[in-house]
Amino acid sequence: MPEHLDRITDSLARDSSRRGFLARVGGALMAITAARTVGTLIEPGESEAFHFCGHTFTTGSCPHPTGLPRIDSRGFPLRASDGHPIDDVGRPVNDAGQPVDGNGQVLDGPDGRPLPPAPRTRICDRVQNIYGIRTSIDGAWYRCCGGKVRKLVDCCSHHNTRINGDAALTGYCFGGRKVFCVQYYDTRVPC
Amino acid sequence: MLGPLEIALGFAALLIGATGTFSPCGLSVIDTIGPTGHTGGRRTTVAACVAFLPGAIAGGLLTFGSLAALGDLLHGAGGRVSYLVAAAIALLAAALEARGTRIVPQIRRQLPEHWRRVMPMPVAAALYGVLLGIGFTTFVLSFGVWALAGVSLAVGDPALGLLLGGCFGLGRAIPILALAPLAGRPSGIRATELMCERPGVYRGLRGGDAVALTAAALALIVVPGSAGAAGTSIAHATDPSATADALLFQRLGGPAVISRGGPEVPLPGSHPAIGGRYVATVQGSSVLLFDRNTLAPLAQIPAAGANAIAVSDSWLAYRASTGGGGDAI
Repeated sequence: MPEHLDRITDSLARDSSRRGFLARVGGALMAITAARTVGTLIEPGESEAFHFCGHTFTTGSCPHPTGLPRIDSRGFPLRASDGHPIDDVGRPVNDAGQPVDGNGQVLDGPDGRPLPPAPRTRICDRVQNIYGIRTSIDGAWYRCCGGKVRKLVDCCSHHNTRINGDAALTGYCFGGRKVFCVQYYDTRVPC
Repeated sequence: MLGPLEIALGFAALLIGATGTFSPCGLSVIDTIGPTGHTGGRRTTVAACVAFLPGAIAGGLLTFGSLAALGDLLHGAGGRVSYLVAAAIALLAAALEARGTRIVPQIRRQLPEHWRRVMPMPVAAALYGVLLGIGFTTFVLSFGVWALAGVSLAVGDPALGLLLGGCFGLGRAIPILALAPLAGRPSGIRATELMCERPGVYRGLRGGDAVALTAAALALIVVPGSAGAAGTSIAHATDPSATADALLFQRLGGPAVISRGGPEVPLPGSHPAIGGRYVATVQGSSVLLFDRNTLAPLAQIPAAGANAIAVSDSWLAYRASTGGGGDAI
């Protein structure tokens, strides 16, 4: 018997038996149950935000020159609106750290000479200077925000009080540290 | 031995798995099991990487092996139409990947973050590996994942499904195993910047997925149709048996062989036949049954005088000469 006819007859035989039908229904139910079990294990990837997208807890933002605590991959401040590097006083800067205007031209002072660069400090390090506590970046986690992948980064310390003034949470921190304040790194990866 | 079809699909699965690293889940795992994600240092990172790999492969095997088994259950393995449907699915996905189309439907789920806090890191890494290897529990970053699922289901060949699952899981694991130990180091930060700030890298990988899927689609069309034959006839051969993806025959004065697009593989015995999930040959006064995909021996069935056989999932028929000069089935 040709192969395909052989298959068809086998298939018909299976289809026509009650046991075959029950086996299929049982298999389908098992598959659905397994899928639902896995579904309960995993978390929503695009979560409700508190004060910026992806931040699922209530801890406040780390002090940032322009407000929202956006950082680059190394922890330095970026302007939240467009991701442009900024210095500690919130001025857009070029690769050399010189303040620049909207066209990327170095800003000149009243004497016609380029304005001197201001320090550019990692946001989490700046917390140490402002609050007099030791901080470190421990864990991080990525979520989908507005169609792009965002990394949520906790600035952690052994301090039991967070920037909000109340009890600090563990968040993504480890080694006995807790979240003092939060920051984020936006990627250009779509999701 | 793997034929061109298996190689093309396996490579596509590997690349599609690697593309998944760009998901929130893949990036999270890199940071989590890397040395900056815990207090255990490099030793814990190595242990977590070692645990992640089999987890990812197991997840892939589970998904694509199950889909292939389901396909086998629904319509049986192989068949020309099945291969053409699978090729169409792969081509559609390739076109969408080449255009960089936004992934739809998307699974907007992330790994359970708290696992890394409540379990030893290697255990959490193994479980994260399983979820990433499964492919459909978290964000999907390539239409290739949907295509691999469709191909597995359409072809309905459990061995091919396991191959796809293994390669997919391996593809998911390799970038993570390469990048996690570098997390926090200058080279790791540069790698993160490359992945996260240069959209061309992700687009390039999706382009690679498109090329690999196109090659797989061509293999699905060409290889099963020819069973690897270079022409329409084979000299010095007799007693053929064929499916969409395999041709078996008896070499005159030589062994029974099977050809699946690669080199001919000799089989023990004579009068080869293929059907369902089995290959069968006659050896002495017995019929030997082999696994259709791996050719592993499965059973030896007494069949005195057998000189022709046919096999399917549920039947074995053979012809034997009777003492009175006739034949019996």
